[in-house]
Amino acid sequence: MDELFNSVFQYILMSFYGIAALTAILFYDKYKHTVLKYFVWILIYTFLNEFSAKYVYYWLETNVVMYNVYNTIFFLYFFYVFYNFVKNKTYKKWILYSAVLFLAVTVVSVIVVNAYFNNLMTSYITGACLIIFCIILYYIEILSDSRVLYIKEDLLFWISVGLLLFYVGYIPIKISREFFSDNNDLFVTLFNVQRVLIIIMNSCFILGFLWTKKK
Amino acid sequence: MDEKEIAGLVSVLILLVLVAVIITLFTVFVRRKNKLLEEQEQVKKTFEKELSETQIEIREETLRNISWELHDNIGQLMTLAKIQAQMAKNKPETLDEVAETIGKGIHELRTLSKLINPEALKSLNLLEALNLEIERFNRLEFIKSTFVVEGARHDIGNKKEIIIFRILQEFFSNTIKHSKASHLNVIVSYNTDRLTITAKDDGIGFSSDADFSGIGMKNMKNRAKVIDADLNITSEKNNGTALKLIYKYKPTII
Repeated sequence: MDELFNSVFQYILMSFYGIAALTAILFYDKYKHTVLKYFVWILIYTFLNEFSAKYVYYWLETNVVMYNVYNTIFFLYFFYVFYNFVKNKTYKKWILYSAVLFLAVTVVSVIVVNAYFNNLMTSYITGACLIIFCIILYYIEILSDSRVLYIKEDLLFWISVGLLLFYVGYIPIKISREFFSDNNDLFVTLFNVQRVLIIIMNSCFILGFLWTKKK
Repeated sequence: MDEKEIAGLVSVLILLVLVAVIITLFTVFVRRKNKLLEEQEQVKKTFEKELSETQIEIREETLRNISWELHDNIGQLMTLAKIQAQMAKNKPETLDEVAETIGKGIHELRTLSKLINPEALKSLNLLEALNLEIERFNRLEFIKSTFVVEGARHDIGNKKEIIIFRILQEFFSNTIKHSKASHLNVIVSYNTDRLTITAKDDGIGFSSDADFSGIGMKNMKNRAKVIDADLNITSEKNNGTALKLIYKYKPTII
């Protein structure tokens, strides 16, 4: 029963990744003039990454390095996006510092930890927290001008809602998993919560692609 | 604590935090949106109020102009015609002159009636209206005026044009009434991103701040603010008064 539930859940998850990437491709026209045009590649990359992770694990007996690379690219891309979208000079500076801090932590982690076998835990937590920080800066900015009136049609708003919800939920999972790494029950439950978070995040992306309007 | 309990606790906690985040986001954004909408509504109301006042004032000014024109221009011509007609009793050959004067009067009457036709007035744009105003000053010899347009006309919306026109009209009437100026130059220049209007007279000007804050001036400033334009009036004693209005084009919301 658990096995069946597990594999069905996994398929649902994969289909959400797939649908998100597909809507991104279908509505590419709506946002191709912004820096979000690379987001479609990120989504395709995500899908391929998740899809192949299982096979890579059978093949090399570890797929951690895939996620390490993926996360680094993902975070850096979003620093770049927020840097481009935010207009306030001070906020821009803060976002730049965040990206630099994240890079520094990542480089140090790679030196200290073997990135091939180990999760770059510190780098991930730093990146996630900094992305939340950037999202908050972005929200403060859109709240202070008339962009808030057309928020529903703003693609980046939906993407950032998805990211915010995901990271707010996922950071505690990541940390508690580190503490109770040998605990199987905990792992399974939290893994399911993580899947729900991923589905919520991708739903936000899909809504964003559907509702966004070409400017 | 049991392992399953910990897992359950963490999951519930995450769920709670998520719900809290969603609710906070939602309330903050909705509140802010409503506040902005309210503000926009307020701005729109102020604009409409100012606009209707402006329209009434323009109408009054038009009536005043008609009365002036009837008295100063057509009235004079008719008086002249009457005198000429009386003289023609003795010299029948001057009857032609009488006819000519009456003809001039008729022509002026026609021009006037065309000008004050509400349909014609409504369809005027800023440039045409300004041009008529300047022509009138020259025709009635109130003041020697020139009117120059630079660049191609950019439509900034009828309502805004009305308000700009009223600002200028107020400036002109101040010039004619108080400045004792002999020349008035108006330049309207349409640039790529903005409209700049400068009007300058060579009258006695004013220096005291008291004159600056007069009701007319306040009205003009207020109206410029309503259409989000930048209005500057500078004056020097005996050196004329200049008005500079800068309006940056924007997508018409109002």
